[in-house]
Amino acid sequence: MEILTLRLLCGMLLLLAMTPARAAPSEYELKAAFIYQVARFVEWPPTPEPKTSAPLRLCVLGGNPFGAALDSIRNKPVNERRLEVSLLDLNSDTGKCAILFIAAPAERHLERIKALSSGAGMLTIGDTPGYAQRGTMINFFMENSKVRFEINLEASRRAGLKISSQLLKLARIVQEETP
Amino acid sequence: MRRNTWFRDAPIKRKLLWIGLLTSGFALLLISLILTVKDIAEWRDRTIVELSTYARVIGANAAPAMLFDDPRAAIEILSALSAKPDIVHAVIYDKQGREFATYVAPGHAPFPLPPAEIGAQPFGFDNLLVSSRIHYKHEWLGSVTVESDLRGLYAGILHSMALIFIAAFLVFLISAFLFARLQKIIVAPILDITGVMQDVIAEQNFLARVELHGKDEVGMLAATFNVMLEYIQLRDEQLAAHREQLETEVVRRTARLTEAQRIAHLGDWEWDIASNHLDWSDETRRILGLMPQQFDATYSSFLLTVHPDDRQNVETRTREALEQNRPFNMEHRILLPDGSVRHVHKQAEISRDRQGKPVRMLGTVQDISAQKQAEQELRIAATAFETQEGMIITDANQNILRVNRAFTEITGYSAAEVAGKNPRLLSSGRQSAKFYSAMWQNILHAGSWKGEIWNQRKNGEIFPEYLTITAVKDRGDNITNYVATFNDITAGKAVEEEIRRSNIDLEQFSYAVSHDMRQPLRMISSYLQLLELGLAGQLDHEKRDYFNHAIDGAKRIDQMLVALLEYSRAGRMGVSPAWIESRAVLDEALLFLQPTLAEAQARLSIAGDWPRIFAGHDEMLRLILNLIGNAAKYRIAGRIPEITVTGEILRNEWLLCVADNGVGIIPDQIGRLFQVFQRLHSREIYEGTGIGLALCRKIAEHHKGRIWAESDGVGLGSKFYVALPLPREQKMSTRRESA
Repeated sequence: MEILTLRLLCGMLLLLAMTPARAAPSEYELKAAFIYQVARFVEWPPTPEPKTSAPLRLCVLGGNPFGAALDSIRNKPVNERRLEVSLLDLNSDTGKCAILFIAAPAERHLERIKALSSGAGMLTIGDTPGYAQRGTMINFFMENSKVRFEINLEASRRAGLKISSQLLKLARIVQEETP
Repeated sequence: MRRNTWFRDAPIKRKLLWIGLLTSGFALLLISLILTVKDIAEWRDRTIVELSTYARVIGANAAPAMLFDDPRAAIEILSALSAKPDIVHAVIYDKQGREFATYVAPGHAPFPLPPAEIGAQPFGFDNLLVSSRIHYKHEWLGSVTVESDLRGLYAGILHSMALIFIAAFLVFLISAFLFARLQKIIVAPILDITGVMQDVIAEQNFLARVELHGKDEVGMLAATFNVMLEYIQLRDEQLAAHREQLETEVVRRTARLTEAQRIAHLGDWEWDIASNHLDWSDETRRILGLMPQQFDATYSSFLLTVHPDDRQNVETRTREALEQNRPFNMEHRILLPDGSVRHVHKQAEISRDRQGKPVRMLGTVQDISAQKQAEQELRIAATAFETQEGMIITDANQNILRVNRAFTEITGYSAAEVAGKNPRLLSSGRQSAKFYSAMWQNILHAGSWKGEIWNQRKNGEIFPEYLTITAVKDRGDNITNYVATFNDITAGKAVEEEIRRSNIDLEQFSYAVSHDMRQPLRMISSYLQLLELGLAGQLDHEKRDYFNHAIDGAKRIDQMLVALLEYSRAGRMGVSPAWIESRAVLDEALLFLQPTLAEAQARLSIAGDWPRIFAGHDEMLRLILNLIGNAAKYRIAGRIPEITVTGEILRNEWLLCVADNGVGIIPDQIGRLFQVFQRLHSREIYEGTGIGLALCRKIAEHHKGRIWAESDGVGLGSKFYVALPLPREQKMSTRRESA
């Protein structure tokens, strides 16, 4: 009898303890998680480096809208590679980036990044409307307070990346607008 | 119990069929059930595997949608399940167990699903739930639960079951058909045996055999049965042969016994006293003079055969034997139906029951008539032997065996003195040796000799004897004995001589009387007539009558003399016999009789056989004249005489019959008819000399025949018969003539 009561008590305490964790995640927490998930559906061209298990570098350009949310994906494994996160300023070299998140403030570098990423095997991600049409490969947007994304297949092909069809099924495919 | 009996008594054919059908039916049913269960299990497993696969595929496809929290995409993935109508409900749960996406088949009213457990679990009767975890690259994302409607599965199972049972039923039918055909392999030989058995029992036909089909148990049974039949047949044949042999033996022995009884004239009989039934053998019946099975064999029917004079004695002796336990042994006579008498000797033994009551009498009856007759003959012979005639019996060598008393009296020799000696000792020596040799020649050739011989008595006196010597022969015609009989004719010789002389005298006398006396008689008669004529005028009526009487008397004396003359001449002076036609004699007689018959107005008819006879013509004529003359003479006044003359050939004689319707004869006077001068009627009524029938008798006897008369009485007519011997040759010639 006592044991049963104790168990019930423990169960209730556990429920109470979990309640804060169940609070809805913030937008950029979700986006950070989405970046990690997207990376899992993308196949990068083989690197000239001998070690295939070299870290997969995520570069954030134009400020850090994620805040601490990036920590939740730092060093998480992506297809036997480890996700590295580095914050870049606008003049930094993007040569060593496998994923480049282009925050809204870096909009004026968009053309240059488009040209840069071509054939460079670098996945470009944004969260600003119209980015996809302007050459960004994956672009997050909000729909019914849910994070959705669109994909510019032409851009990803130019970059030599292969995006899983499973991901494509979930995305809105957009065509590039020629300026 | 009844069903048990029914099955027990059912034919093997049906039993086998039932057993086969039950076995195969049960096996098929069991196999069908096993197959069905296996089928259900297989279908179930397959369904679970299939559903799990679906769940896993859905999980794999839905994983990215979950990663990116896109329930719409998940619903889209789930909607692919519409291709599978069995799946009516599918739900994807997230890690927290919340519903992420749901699919409901069109037209299905979903029940809320229970908390999913990984694996399969039934949900209600018709439904099955299968859950699977959703992973993406080893990361657990949630789970998917698929609900399947099993009714389709059940329909399939039912269908399959139906197929199985139909197939099983078809197989059952085929196996029943095969069994019905194949059971004959076993049943047919058994039926064969049974059929033959019934044949054997119904017709006692032990020649029947079962056809052999093989060497299995039934074949061995058939073979054994055949062997048994063979034994029975063999035994049957042996029995039949044995019985036949016994029957033959019985028939043979019975025949032998019957034959033995016939030869011995000895029959057997058995008297069952209680039922009064007598069992007679054939010989017994013959001896008793009964036809086989002529009438009931009882004691009283037996008594009827006994001679009436012996019946009392037989009854007494039988009763004594039964009552006093005396042996039964007696002789008595049997009176046969034809009136002859038979002598029998009877012996019997009596069986008695425990109380001493007679039950059965078993005995023999022997015909001893022959012995009796032999005894009688012996007695007769013995008596005959002791007559006045002397008698000698010798053997074939003429040694004296026996002599009688008369021999001793005549010769003076005693029997002992002459025994074994030759009769020659009596020889007187008066006859020559030639006489004796002629005598023996005659005996040897003719068998006997008769004659007078002179012999000598013991005292030397010589005497004449009339001797007859006869040879006695056995069947082989060999002389075994001689019998000599003789009379001392010393006295007889003289008497004989005297009689002969006196006979001659008598005949001469009667001839003289009848012949010589007629002359003076005629003189008397003539002179009386002359005297009557001379005195015609002087005689008165009375005196004339005297004359007439005297003349009449003389005439009658003359007639009598004539008749007497004729009588004395008959057989002496007539013509010697010769073959003559009897009919011619009759016609001649009728010619003589014509006036007499006309006067009597008689009607005469002649019939029968008229052969040639060996007789004296004159005598036969006289005989017929007398008989027919008598018939016409002794008629009744006023009645027209009807005379019938009939000839008839009998065995060895010719019978002449003269019948009339005249006065007839008083029966006790018939004997006097044929005597000389015997007259039955007065002269006043019927004329006659009284010689006629006496003469007839003399003629008949002279011809070695007989004569007799018959009459039913006075006024009823009479019949006169003459029987004359008819020599054999004559009969044949007569036939020829009549033909």
